[in-house]
Amino acid sequence: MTEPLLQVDDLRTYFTTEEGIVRAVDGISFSMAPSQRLGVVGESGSGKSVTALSVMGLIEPPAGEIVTGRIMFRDKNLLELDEDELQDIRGGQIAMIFQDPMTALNPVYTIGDQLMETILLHQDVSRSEAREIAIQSIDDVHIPNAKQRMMDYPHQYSGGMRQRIMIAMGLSCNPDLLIADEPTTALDVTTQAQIMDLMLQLADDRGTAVMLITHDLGVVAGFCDDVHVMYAGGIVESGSIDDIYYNPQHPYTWGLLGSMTRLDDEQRHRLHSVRGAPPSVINLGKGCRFRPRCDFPTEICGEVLPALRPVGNPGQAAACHHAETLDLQKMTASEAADSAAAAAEAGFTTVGTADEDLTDVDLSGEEIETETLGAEERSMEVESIEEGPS
Amino acid sequence: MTDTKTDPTPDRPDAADPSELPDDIIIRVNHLVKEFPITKGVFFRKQVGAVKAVSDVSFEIRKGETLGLVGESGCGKSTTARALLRLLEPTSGDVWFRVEEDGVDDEIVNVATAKKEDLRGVRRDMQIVFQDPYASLNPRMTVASIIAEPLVVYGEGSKQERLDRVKDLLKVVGLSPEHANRYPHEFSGGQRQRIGVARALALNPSFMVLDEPVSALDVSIQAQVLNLMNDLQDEFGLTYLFIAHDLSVVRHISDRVAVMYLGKMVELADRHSLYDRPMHPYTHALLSAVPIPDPNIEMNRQRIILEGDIPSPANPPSGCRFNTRCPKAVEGTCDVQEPEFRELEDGHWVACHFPEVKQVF
Repeated sequence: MTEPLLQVDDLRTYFTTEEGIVRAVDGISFSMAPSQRLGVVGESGSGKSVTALSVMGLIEPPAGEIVTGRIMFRDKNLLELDEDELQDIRGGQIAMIFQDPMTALNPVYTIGDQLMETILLHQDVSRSEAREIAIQSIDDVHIPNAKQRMMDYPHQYSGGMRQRIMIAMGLSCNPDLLIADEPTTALDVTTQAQIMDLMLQLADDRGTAVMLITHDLGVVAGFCDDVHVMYAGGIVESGSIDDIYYNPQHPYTWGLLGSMTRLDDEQRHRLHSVRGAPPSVINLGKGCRFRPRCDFPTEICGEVLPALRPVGNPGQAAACHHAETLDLQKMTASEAADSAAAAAEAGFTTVGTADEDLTDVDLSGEEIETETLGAEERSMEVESIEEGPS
Repeated sequence: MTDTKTDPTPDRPDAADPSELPDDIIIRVNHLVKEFPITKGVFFRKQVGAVKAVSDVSFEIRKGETLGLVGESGCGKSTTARALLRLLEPTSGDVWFRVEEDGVDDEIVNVATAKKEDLRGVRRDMQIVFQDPYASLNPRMTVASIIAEPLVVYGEGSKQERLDRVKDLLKVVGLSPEHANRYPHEFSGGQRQRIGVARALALNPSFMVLDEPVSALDVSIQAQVLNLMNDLQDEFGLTYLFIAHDLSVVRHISDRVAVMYLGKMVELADRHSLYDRPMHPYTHALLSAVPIPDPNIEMNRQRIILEGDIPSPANPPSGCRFNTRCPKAVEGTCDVQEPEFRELEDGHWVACHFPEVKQVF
């Protein structure tokens, strides 16, 4: 086992709001090896971006706060460094690419200025050397006429090219770890293919470790070695891409895969949707956070928050009390639509014929996001769910 | 290739005659053009050019089917939809729409040229669901008044009847009647999209434009809304024009699929032909770029990576609009002559000088 590049232990990042404490990231632990390509997958509000911002030291108090945890980058705990020490690592050894390349670039400086700023800050070079490095890095991301394009402003670039510049900027100091937060979400699909192709090639050439944060399981499949699936601030499943896609152990992972439309899917079968919506991470009750949306809840799920524990293939882990007994991999998405999911879906999707009780169940699940239910309502909701899928 | 047809909707100036529009066609778009002027100057706004958002697009939609319209941002797919609903004034072209009168005397209306007052009746039958469920609902109106608004506009029913209708509609889209008195901010994205669908259904339309209805939603919620769309279509016999940039979603929901590039339709076919036997090089590139959530397939896929970016629609390339990025472009042909939109196989239309069937995944 090689020395990990990044080791995160029990990270908890909370935000204080008027409605209560938002537990955006609530006790996650993971590590990354050098050159590893890790996918962090989850829906909006699952805490994937906050994880990245925490690692980058970009959580600004007083709004947000890293309550507990340790983020070891090589032998340094990033949470104990002062701003100057952090500055050395940030941009130099750990770089980040953001989702929206337009807002991440400063509109009043030329692309060249912005690239050189990073290089001058982190490398001991003269201005003219920095210029050469900047031109080379634009060249590396396959933008023609690098010399001329140095003088252009961000608005003169298209969306795809701006994201290339972000990649150039991120990689200009040869970081050991690149965090890419939804790097292609704002882009068209052919541009996305260009950018992912480029990232793969550059990361391969330089041996850069990449943490790819995305909601798109398709992008992850072609890029990553390993995947963490996040839900409501916690990691619910982790494993190699083969584990996650072919042998999912957590009902959420399985539901997510079933709800995806696939380009190569000729059948027009019903999608196995995960009912309800992700919960608000304010005032989470005890028990499993996925429970209100799960097809297989039992009593213990309402009592004890399941820990991430080894299950399935070697190296795979899931946070589910029943991972061993569910045997999810035997149920294909289409089978699921017929069996357990049929009951769950009835309330949501069947037109006119929906059983009243089921409609209520599903809605109460979805409402959690929009309304913070009081303890009393919450217990009522739990009761009504128990009537449902069993 | 001499016997191939060259236009899915040939010029028929007399198409106003209902007998000319086959019974199974609900809408026929004929040489639709929409240009936005580029003006210069503050006082004398002189037109110096035009953004050719939609350039001569023709297609038909059959009763009860779903036509998927795909393309990247700026290809004109949303403009096409808005021009055919006449939410935007088309620059030229015809949009023949069948207004159903209890299945007997259907009236055919040219939406593109009809007078505003004649459009009123047509608009009952054509509705739209917008992409952004956060922007398309008025935050100051309750869900009941949002859904009842079309009914009020058309003077349907008494107050109580409208409320009953709202409650029915809420149930139809998988919400609960108790939600009627809440405001949009109390709902999640998926629920809001359901409210938008309920509003569109209020007047019992026969035709619905769904403009990227799921692209703002999370994957698990997308699946719920797609299932709902399918159910509603079965239940009410709706015809859909489904606009999306996500080709896997389009494959899932559509019967036929049209691909647009820079204001032009480049390929049109039934879903099986388009995905299994695509012929246009742009369709090849588009399909090969879509990731598939399956590592074994993804790691071994050969991608066709297009060079460069989409050109500006204010100044589209001469000849075939795709020629500047096409891996197969032939100088002297593709950059000079615009390819005709031809039917090369049964129901499979392609606008390319060198079409070729290619499996891309």
